[in-house]
Amino acid sequence: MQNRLIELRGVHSMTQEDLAIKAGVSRQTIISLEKGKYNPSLQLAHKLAIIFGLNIEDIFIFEEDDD
Amino acid sequence: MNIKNSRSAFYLTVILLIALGVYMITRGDSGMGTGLIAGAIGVFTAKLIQFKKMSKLESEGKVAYDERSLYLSSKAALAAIRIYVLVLASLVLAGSVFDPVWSLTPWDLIGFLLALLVFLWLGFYYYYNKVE
Repeated sequence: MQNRLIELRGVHSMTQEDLAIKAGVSRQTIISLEKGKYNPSLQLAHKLAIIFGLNIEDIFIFEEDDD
Repeated sequence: MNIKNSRSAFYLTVILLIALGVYMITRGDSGMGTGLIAGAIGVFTAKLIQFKKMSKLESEGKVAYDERSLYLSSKAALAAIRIYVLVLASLVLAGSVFDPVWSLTPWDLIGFLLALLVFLWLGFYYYYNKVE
């Protein structure tokens, strides 16, 4: 699943480490998320949405091929 | 089981293994006893290093194991079980057909099969951690 994490981190001047600590996950998880190799749980997606002050669908781009 | 209880259980297991090793030595089986003690100390040392690393991460507010770790663990377990069943089924078939003679105690056989499953899981976890 594509996402805007890299862009949003840049806007908020956050490193992967900063985001990982705020989201309560490992830096490796943030790396995998940004590469689109790992899909977050609903709970993690919600946490990220709160951190960036956006809705989940504003961060994660669901495409038809993701089914 | 929380982290503190699991660590206590681990330390107890190591103590029991060392005690068992000492018992084996007093019974005259010094090879097995020494191996057991050496193995227990080796695992204890490796785990201690891991515990220290995790404590350091936690003190810095970082997370060592999260939902992705659980996801990879589950995926690795499924892959390991599939291969394990395939390998064992093949061995049973081959054994039934060719009927080889093995001079192996049941305990050694169980030990090998256990090690095979653990190594399969570790291998798949390492692989999925790299690609995902």
